[in-house]
Amino acid sequence: MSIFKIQSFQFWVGLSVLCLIILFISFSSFIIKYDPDVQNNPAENRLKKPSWKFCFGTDKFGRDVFSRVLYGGRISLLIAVSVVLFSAIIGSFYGAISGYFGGWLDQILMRFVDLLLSFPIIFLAITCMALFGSGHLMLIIVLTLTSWMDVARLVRAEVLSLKQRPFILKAKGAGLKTSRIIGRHLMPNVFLTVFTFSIIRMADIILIESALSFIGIGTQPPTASWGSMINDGKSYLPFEWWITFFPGIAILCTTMSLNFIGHGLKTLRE
Amino acid sequence: MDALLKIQLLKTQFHKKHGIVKAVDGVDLKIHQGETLSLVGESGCGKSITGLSIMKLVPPPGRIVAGSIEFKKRNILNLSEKQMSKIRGKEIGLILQDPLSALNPVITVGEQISEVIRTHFPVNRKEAKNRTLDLMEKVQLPNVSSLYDSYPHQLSGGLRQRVLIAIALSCSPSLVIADEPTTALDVSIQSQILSLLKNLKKEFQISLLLITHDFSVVAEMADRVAVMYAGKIVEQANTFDIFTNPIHPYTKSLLDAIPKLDFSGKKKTKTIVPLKGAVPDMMNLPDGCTFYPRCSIADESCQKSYPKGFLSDGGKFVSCFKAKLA
Ligand SMILES: Nc1ncnc2c1ncn2[C@@H]1O[C@H](COP(=O)(O)OP(=O)(O)OP(=O)(O)O)[C@@H](O)[C@H]1O
Ligand SMILES: [Mg+2]
Repeated sequence: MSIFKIQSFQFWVGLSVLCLIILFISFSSFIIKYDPDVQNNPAENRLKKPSWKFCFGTDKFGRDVFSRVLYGGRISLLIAVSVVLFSAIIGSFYGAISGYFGGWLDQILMRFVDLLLSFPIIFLAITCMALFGSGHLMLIIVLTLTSWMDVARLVRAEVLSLKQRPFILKAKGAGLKTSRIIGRHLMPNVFLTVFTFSIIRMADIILIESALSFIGIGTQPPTASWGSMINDGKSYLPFEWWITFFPGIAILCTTMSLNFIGHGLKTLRE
Repeated sequence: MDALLKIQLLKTQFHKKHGIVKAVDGVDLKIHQGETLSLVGESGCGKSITGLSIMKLVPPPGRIVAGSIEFKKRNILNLSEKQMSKIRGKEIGLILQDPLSALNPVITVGEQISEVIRTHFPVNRKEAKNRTLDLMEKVQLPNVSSLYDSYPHQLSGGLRQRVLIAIALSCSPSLVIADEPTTALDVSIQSQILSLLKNLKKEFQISLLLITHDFSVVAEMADRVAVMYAGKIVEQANTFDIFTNPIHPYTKSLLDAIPKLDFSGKKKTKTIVPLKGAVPDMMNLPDGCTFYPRCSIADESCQKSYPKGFLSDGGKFVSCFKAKLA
């Protein structure tokens, strides 16, 4: 099982684009020439068109949009990766336990998941952040709490069929501990599924984070995230288009490449 | 001599929406120290479920509803899950039919053996690895040190089955349950695996419950044979007696269905007589003798009740109204 077996053209395009984005974002401190958050820039630098000096132009405070897209990407990706990672861990254990033990425990655990899933995510997030304040940590917690259930369902379904397989019977027949059967024999077999799901889910989280920042309850100024940048620039449309266009393109490229990679990985599961 | 394993009136059932499947319905079996007992019968008659009942691993909704299973004089049906997990793998080994699906695809074969050793003995990884390598040599795996780190899909079917045998024997159990250990293999590999099992059985001094539907395997391996039909043992006798003097009509027709049986030494070729009728629907078994609809010697009285088995002096057991013990 090697990723080199993936024949999909989209997958490789997605992977290349994503690698490029990650490379730019991780080395942003070496690339950028201007502080992305400083607001009292000289007046002649404000709302400038893209040029050699400011390749993505500047916003109303004279901040370099290119620098802010790179820095905002850090925030957006960091939030997305954290949320997806925590959701994968919580959801995998929850789902594996539910599916493996089955019976009434499974019933209780899954009804609880159904209950949580019946809340609209955005609404729940808005309520929580209004109650407990915004901030990146809160954003990660709220988004994780609202997105681990899908992983749990997925893993449960997978475990329900995996546990019928003879190698689990062999493991039980050899007297292995239940914790080992779940941790060592089931989990690695659901890894690819969870990973693939998480990649695609990451795109959703980036969009949700952007949406929350766009309506002003996600990332707070002056810190940049792609969503908050679009929010900042929306009143300057259609004339100063570059303020919203470049973060928009960044979101589009990232989420599209994540989706391409995710769908490529799906073909790997024979 | 006391039996190592003594099963009495075991009943294992699957309660389903549309009815009850009596997969094991009042089975009596004994296995003595060092003995090989072969359990034969057509597909679906309850052989595997009998084997899994002994390990208390019947898949839900299946449940053991009655009877007793005495292993080393303890009724394992009274043991807790925790006590059972000390018997599984340590005292009773299990070998499954399809060696590819019985091995975890994402764990190396070496680790799949050594994890069992580490579960049952207080040894560190290095010691467990050494024992595993010894064991892999005992089951005649080639290049053990490189094979240790291979994944199951990199091995041939015969080698995979040797790995499963190594897992079953890893903690020197006193009983091994082998559920059709050669069915999924090529004929040439089958005989290698069988002779390996035979030799290891002697070396490790284990008893073997060999589940099969292949009478050539029975002839090669078994000391005694129990013939199973629709959840019940219909005949039980020494291997030699089963082949030379089968009594139950089901046993007779099973033997007649084997191509070219030549057991007496004289050159005579029997014609194949395929078994008439279909394997019964385990959900709606006929009243009376379950074999009645397919039996050639049955009459109306066979429909009234199930024949109680009778035991001859020589230890033969038959449950049939019409057949007479020789
Ligand atoms: N998980 C299950 N759920 C419901 N019924 C089952 C289940 N497993 C087995 N059975 C039933 O129990 C009966 C006995 O099955 P078992 O697997 O013991 O047959 P077998 O003799 O081993 O056959 P084979 O030669 O095909 O392996 C079958 O009729 C089957 O329908
Ligand atoms: Mg079977």
